[in-house]
Amino acid sequence: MFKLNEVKAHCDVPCGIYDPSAAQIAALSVIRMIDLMNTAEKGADDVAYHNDMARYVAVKETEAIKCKDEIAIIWGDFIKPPHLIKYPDLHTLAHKIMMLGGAAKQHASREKGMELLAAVNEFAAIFWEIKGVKTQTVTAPYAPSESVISPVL
Amino acid sequence: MIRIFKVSGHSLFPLLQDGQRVFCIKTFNFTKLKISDILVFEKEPHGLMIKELKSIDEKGYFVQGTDPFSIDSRDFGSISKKSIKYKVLFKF
Repeated sequence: MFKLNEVKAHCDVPCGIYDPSAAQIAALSVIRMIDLMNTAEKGADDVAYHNDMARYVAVKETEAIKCKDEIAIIWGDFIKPPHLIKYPDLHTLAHKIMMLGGAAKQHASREKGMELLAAVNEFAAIFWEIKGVKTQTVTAPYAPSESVISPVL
Repeated sequence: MIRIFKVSGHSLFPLLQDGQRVFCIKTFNFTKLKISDILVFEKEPHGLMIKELKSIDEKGYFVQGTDPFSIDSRDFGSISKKSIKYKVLFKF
């Protein structure tokens, strides 16, 4: 019949740009680095091998931290008390991601990396549901070619 | 004189929730406002905003949300009485 005018009760800087895809890419990068570490061949050039391995470890470290940071920003800035009423396990999930991010730095286990990606995907699914955006499960078109939850845009 | 607005955002949770409706009455220069009134006011570049009145002093009207991230007088300072357009009577 008629459109109600809106009054803004907004928070944060009014850009409203939050997206868990950066965390998903970071989790994929962690897995990719673990895969590279596990398949690296020592060969004749010992120095080159150690150089490669050091770089894989450094990138894994950086991406695991990035993954945690991206989730922490959405968790701390975007998620509000009403969301927690609807998704009461969200705090537990976010904390789990923080711990899995730490474990991904500590270990070189693919299983740990996959656990991190699974938790981040779960977080992404909730995030997009809050935003009222449908999601789909797609396979990343690049190594490590694992599944990610993606918005249907 | 009377307006119904739809609240957008969470900065006044749990007083007001996102999507909730508020029934408001227009305010004038002579309208007496008191602390804890929920006010609708004009603030550029945000447009029409809704916050709680926390204090009144010579600098103007200090409005604030309940959320730590709320954009309010903590960012843009006190607002003038002229910028206050409506007062919430009740929510539904």
